[in-house]
Amino acid sequence: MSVVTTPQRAETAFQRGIDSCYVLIVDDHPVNRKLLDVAAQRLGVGKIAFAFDGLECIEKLTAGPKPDLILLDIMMPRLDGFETCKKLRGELGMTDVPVIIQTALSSSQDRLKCFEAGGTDVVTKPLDLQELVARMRVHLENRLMVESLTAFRGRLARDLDVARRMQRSVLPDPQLLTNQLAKDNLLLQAEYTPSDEVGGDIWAMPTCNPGKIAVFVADISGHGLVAAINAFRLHSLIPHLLGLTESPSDWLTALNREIVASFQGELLATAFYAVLDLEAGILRYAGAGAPQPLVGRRGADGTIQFEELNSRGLMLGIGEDWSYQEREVAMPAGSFLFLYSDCLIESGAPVSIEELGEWVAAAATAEDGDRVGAMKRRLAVHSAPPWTDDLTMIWLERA
Amino acid sequence: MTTMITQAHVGTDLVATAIGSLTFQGYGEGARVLDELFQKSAATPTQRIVFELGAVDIIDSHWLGFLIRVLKRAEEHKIEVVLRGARPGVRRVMDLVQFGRLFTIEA
Repeated sequence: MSVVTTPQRAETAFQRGIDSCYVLIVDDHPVNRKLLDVAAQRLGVGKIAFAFDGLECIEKLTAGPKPDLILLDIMMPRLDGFETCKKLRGELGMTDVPVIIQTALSSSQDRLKCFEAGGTDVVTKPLDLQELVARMRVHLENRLMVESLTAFRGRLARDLDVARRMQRSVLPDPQLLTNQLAKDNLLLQAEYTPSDEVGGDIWAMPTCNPGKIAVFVADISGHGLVAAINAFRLHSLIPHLLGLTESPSDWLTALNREIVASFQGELLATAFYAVLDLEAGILRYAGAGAPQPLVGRRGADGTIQFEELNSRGLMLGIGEDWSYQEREVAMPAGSFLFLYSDCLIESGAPVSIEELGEWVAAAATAEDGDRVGAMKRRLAVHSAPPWTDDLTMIWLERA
Repeated sequence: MTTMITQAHVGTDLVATAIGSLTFQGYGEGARVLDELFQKSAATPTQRIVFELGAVDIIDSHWLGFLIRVLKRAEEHKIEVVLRGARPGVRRVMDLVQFGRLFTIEA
């Protein structure tokens, strides 16, 4: 017999090699069994087992370990190859095990029937050993590759889940802040829904002197682990700015300088920082290109007037010499500030500022009082979740 | 809508035409485009990289960051970066992040 010269693939990329694979040979004919055995041995598979017919195959599959490849004859006593294949795909749920069907039936209709029964590949008798080995190698390597990719995907999903929890762990807990804010007649509601891939949203409430409340929100460019780690690192810079928390311009300018020094262009973010002076009824703020926040003021007749805040400013992290302009707006009793990430207006069809105003007006009068919940439900109607970006919403309201 | 960016030289302009939504789904496209832009600009004399944005409906913060990265690399090669033809929604976002201070913006 000739030596098989199928090109070797990079098996080192797989989690295990062909020598760990298990091949089940299902054939009632001794000569065929021997030939298939030789083919499997030539490939160097680790374990070879035999079944005399379809029923014994099903028994072996039910009782024993799952094979990596099944070589299945068609014409067998008790249970033929077609029925065996249907059973193992259906009743046993073995949808991912490759099955090479060997058949003496050579018409295209017969071959089609093999595939319809669930076969992965078909070889025609009389068997060509070289071809058979080559096909077995392809199917085993594909299986090992899928196995490796599945394992990799699982690891990545677990890592992303850890990143998601890490990211969430640094965000303020509105429930914990409720009592503290209630003393100032403030209502805080916040929503953070990470995307499947994890985005780079972060928000914080840096500590201020009594009578003043600061809120910061940022959207870090990128997705996945890098964005999550960068969000974490950005959060670690916030304590460096402790003396500046009551000046939005100074705070953002200093944060930008810290980011440029620490990340050297690797972290870019849009951001917004605001300080509410309760006594003066003034909101001072500075923006670094974050989506425009809204301030809503309730009129005597119950209507809500909106003001879009000018959050124009260069993204954080571009250059260290930039400064951020401070602006102010009236925020008297009964008014509210609504901050959000771009997921809210860019998931699905773009949402105009006018539409957003309508959503916010409806949320402001939500019967259950759950403002951000109402916003999230409205977004879900507009664009069905899961969303491909992190969703952050913060609602700060004065009684 | 998916993202597609094609690139071709027009004189000494390397024109990158973007179509669709510049959002999460197209992030892989960004890495490819970044490499190709500077391979092409190195192979053929290039004075400007021009992003044609007329067929873009949305741009998110990642893609804003992508444009900044293009700008920084272009500066190293003394190449001007132009953002051209953005629709009102995209233009509004570019205005929000003050791209006019960094890029040449053309209608």
